[in-house]
Amino acid sequence: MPFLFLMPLAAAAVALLARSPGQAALGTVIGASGIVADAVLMASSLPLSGGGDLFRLDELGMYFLFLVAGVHLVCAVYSYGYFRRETERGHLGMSKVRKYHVWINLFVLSMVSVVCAHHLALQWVAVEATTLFSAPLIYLHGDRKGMEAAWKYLLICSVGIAFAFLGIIFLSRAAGDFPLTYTALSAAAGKLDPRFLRLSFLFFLVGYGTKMGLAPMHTWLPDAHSQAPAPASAMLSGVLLNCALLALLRILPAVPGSYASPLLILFGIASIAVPALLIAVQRDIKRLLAFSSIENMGIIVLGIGFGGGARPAALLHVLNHSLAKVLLFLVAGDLVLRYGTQRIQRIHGIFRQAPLSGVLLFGGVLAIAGSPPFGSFWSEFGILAGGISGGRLAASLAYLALLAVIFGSFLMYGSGMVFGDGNPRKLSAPELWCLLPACVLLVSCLWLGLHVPAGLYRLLERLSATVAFS
Amino acid sequence: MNTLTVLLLLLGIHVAVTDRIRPAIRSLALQGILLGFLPLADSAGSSWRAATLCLATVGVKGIAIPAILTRATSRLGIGQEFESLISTKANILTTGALALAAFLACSRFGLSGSDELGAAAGLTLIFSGLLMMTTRVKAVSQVIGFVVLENGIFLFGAASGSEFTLPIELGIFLDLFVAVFLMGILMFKIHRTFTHMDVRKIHTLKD
Repeated sequence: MPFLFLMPLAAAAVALLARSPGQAALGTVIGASGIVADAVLMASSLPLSGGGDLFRLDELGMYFLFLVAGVHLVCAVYSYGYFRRETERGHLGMSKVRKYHVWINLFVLSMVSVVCAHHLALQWVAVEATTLFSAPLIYLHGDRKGMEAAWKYLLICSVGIAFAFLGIIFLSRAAGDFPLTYTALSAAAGKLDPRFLRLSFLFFLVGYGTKMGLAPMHTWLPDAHSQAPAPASAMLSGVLLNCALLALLRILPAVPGSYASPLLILFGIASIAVPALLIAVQRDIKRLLAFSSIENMGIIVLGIGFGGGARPAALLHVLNHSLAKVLLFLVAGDLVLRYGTQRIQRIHGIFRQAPLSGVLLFGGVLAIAGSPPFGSFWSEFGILAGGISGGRLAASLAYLALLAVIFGSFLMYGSGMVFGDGNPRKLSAPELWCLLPACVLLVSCLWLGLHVPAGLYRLLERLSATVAFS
Repeated sequence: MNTLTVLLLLLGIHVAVTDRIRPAIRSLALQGILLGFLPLADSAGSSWRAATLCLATVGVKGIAIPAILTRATSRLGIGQEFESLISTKANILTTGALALAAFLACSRFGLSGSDELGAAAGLTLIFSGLLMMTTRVKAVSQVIGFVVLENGIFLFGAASGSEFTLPIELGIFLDLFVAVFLMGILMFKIHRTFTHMDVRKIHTLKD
């Protein structure tokens, strides 16, 4: 396990010394590959523990670790092409590129700590560290909007996380002599003081919910995710939100379902409804994607709240959302650079001018909107089926209606941008290192839609048993 | 122990109701130093642990954070006054009402005498920190509100007996320090690009 922590540190050190965007990106790519390789090697000998009570990597942590490492690798490859273009155009100097690679590796280090943490207070420290290490990425360009976004992000998330710490204090009161590790807590379920446990869960939900972007605590998210450079936006939306989700999942086995389930459903529906309205009137492509992240976190929380058959579907949706959202942020980042605008209206006729980007964007839009044959269709459908069979009819119907609205909006934006007449301006040449990672992601989305591997399905069943309510 | 708690509470209330920035930062620093004595007052733990925690608390909350805030106010030429969305009178009344609410809430937690006082004082600080963050206009006063909130959580946690191993406790301090440090850097950067520190005017990002 120490290797997991050393790789990003080493990559950050390489970035400090790098002389060109290529060298810095190479260090990050090697660091990311190291984490992936180490994760593959460890996968057969789970659970692993280290540092006494502090660290433990179980299957659930491993699932999230694979997501973090995989997305990091894809984004690292992409960042080479992205920053090469940015520096060639004089948007960014080498010092900023160096900064990006240092912070992104430290950011990954903090996320690796979140997934490996065993003690919940240590996990809290790691989640707060993710905020601190990602804030400099948001104002990397150093413009007004970026600073405004970073300021909001830092303040709102720090306060949110402070609430989660109150949750930990209440939890330690509820737990009495039990240590605050997730294994001890799930073993002690039913023996904890119910009053403090309920308070604790509420604060965990509000605190980590802020970090996940659940409505109504989501206000920082569209700003932060739209201002960061594209590969960082992809990491923020694609994996950071998942890490906050994992922190919330860890406490669920201790909490009675009769209390937790309605709250999760409520926050879930709210987090789908608020973005459904705002997605319909978006003008900025990156803000559109950021709102869609809030919506998808809502879907996942809703599925966890439904319980039963919806739970494995919700965990599968974590994977599907990450793949599709990272794909979209990467393609959008490339398009924003080539068209020179984030305004949706000014981007049109992509298919005519850049056919491959057009296919990638439209595929990504269909995937994020939950259309077959992409993976998210099955996970969203599984959550709906789980809700209905669990007797949550009203919430299921609301979910279905909101999804239909969002599907319509996305299809409208997608077809508006991809089809139609091209821009009068000539686009710059396609950048291989920007398009290749996106192609890999689109193929994965499609593959998960056509065929969910039996091994993955069994894994999700096992994982969902470990996050079941007490 | 009780005297310490009452002092912490009074300092917190001073920060919450004063309309001048420098005295508020001085009270905040004193509060940080007094918080450092909390681990020493707890006789159950080992003395090494208590001494380390004391040093970390005084270093981060008593010295480093107030230094960052003082530097920010003097370097950025931020005026002496806090600007608030509500009047000083309304501020004092609201803070009083929040303190009352905190004491009422804590009477239901089933803690013993001095712990109950500590928890209630902590909760009051949490509430008044949140109030400062929502009603004060200048960026530096929002950071002060955040630190008051954190101090409140620290006191609340100490009173309700939550203790973690030393690496975790130190991690918590490191996080807080880096958070305030980053906020300080951002304040400088925002000041340079916006030439004002009024968060009311920072709203170019909206839908």
